[in-house]
Amino acid sequence: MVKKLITRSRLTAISAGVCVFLAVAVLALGCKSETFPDKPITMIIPFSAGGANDMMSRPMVPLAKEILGQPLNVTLMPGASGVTGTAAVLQKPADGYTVLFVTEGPMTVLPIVQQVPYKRSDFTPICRLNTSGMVIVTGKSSPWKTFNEAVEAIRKEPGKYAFATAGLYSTPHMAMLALENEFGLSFKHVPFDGGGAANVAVASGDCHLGAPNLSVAQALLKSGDLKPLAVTSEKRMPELPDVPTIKELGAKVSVEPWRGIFVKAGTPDNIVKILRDRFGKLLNDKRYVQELEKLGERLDYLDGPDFQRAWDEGFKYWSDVLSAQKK
Amino acid sequence: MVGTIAQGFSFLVDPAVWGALAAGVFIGAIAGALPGITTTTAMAMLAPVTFYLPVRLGIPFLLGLYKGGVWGGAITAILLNLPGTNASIATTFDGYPLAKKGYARKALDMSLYASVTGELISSSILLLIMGPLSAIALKFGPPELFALIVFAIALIGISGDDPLKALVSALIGLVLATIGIDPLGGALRYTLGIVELRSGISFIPAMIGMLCLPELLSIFSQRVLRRSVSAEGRTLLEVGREGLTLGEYLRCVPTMVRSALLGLVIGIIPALSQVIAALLAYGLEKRLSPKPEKFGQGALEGIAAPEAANNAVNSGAMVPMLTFGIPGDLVTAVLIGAFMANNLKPGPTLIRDNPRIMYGLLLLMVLGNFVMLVVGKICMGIFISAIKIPAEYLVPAISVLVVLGAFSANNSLFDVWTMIACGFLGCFLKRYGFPIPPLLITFLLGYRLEMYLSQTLLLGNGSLSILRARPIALWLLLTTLIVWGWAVVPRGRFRVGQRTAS
Repeated sequence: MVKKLITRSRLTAISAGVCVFLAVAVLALGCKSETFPDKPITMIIPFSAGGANDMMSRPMVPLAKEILGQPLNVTLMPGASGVTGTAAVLQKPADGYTVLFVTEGPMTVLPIVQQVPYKRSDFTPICRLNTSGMVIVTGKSSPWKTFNEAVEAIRKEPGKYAFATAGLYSTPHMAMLALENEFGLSFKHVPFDGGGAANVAVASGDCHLGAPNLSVAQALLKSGDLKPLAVTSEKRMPELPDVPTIKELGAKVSVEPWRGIFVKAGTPDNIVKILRDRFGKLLNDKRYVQELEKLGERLDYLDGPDFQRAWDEGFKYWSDVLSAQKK
Repeated sequence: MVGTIAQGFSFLVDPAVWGALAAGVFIGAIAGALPGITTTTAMAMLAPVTFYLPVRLGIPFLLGLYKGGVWGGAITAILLNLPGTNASIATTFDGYPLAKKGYARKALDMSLYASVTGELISSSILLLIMGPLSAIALKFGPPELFALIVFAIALIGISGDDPLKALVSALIGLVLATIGIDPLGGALRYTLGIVELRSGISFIPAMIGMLCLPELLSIFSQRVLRRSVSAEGRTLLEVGREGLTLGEYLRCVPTMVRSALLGLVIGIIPALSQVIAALLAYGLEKRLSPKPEKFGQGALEGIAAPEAANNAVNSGAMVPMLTFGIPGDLVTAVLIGAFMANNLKPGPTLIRDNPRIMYGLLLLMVLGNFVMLVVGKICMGIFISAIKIPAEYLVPAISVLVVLGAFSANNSLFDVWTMIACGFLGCFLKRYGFPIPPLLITFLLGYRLEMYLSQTLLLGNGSLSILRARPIALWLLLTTLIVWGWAVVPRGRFRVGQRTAS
């Protein structure tokens, strides 16, 4: 059936070629490069396509070659609320060629409340990209006009009022837990599959309260289907100048989950320094900031050491809040 | 309003706009056909390209991608029993059997025409009465969604031939769906310590494995065992000379209209996507048909219904997106991002502030369907030529494609193993006559079924009494009972042990 395609002489030629190729490859691998980076950097995002992290990484790509020195390959590895992709970074060598772009959830909250296959000390922060606060909202048909009215009603009947969130330990849920902790409240937590569904539940009156990110809720706020009662950020949001912050209303903390870039711990110090410098330059570049604002986000950059401190503080706060919650 | 629609026309005079739309449809169709590349992935990858283009080119391109992407999955669904996207799962039910009978060209034509017709109907309605439609979006909370999914499962899960085996398949699907974190997010179930299983078995690799691998394997074994390769037996499929005739198309028009309306409504409800519309439309048409036994053997209505419905969803999904800024599905989520990057803030102010652009886009959605028709024909031609490649080259190529597809869904090698394992499961099920579609349907919908039920119970503080105040949900559940009864009673009893001819 098969014609004599593979003659003896052809086989010899092919084998010789393969040997030469292997030899060259081994030699090439053996050479350690002196300059970092000398091949493309992979950025792992542990969330799915179209999500906020994905969208915010896009404007980095055209600037990467110029500022980082090498192209940036963005790889999406969704799963388990960010745990899958985060754990995947640890499977790679600690050589600085794999960075993680993640939110606070998998890095601070999930290690406290779930068995995750990593520890905080497995990661070295490169820098923080931004923070975003949430808006505490209630539905159009709700009788509450101010945050304090809501608090009074909720204190009278603990556990009665339904709080819609984008999922267990999502950023809106974190806001809810902070509210419970700071104001002595008790809600009925109703998790949904994502912010959109949660907003619909609050707008339709199925749930009494919600805490979406501003960008997700903007349209419903404008149409009046959602009423803002408070914001969880440190300062008032320019889009909602009349809405008080929870700090103004008596909370001791603000809730602004961050997004940041990390590498595997154990990466050589000089490489960490290079990454910190260069990502710092890239994120603060006017062109990137402009693109970020078009997406409805704002830069809130913190360099490596400051970010580590902020992360640690956040971890301490959430450990306290969540251990108070654990039954 | 007529004035603003007229304004919108000015948007369409520019030929570059049509070019962008056509390019989008073309790329979308190919991306849709390739398994593992979902419409969402394609859109997420290409959306940033549009940030550098002016609005009038970028958005039509994405809309074209959306349209083409939803249809494209039908190509491989019909030719290889492999839905290129979830939306086309139902298209395999009748599309593949028809192709095996030698009428692939007719099946492909039907899928294209139905998609175009469906989207034409729903986008025209959208253009005319968008405002009132938006009210539907907020009416579907957890109780209604739970009832709707129960309805969908009942409608399709029990397919005609052997209800008992279909039930077993459906239950296997539900069991597989429980693997992973429970819907409310507390406990890990059956993950065996494997990180990748935390979010459950990935659907796309499982679907590829169960639907396509058994087919590839049987083709392969047939040829190996037969040993002879005669001229006629060389190609995978006999595509057939005749396309769809006008008579056949017109006979399916009532089906397409009903399915399109269904798709439009499903699209408006934010939580639901093309898959559910396609499944519901298929199930509905089968129940309403005077000859339900035709379905599953290659009935043209069986292709027309899901394809019309799934494309009709596109227009519906634009409603919550444009009026509330709520994404109807992942694709519209990407669209919202693209809109915002072009300084168009989705929401009630969008139409007020940018009437020319908005009505231009809606008109584009309507008229763009004709572009889809033309471009779709071209794509069909490409794939038909491809399928004529002799099987001994094609089957290995498809196998590689299928592995790549399973991997690229989540960039995960574990998914490839999932696909292979499901392939074995699929072969086993096929061998013993258990239908696979009910399994896939309950597997796909199981998580959400449980989530909506849990949320409903949460809202009702542990009891289902909340349903008393939810007429839509009650009505759906009642209809479900009727459908079940109707399916079971005339037989008198389940006919156990009846062999199915697949």
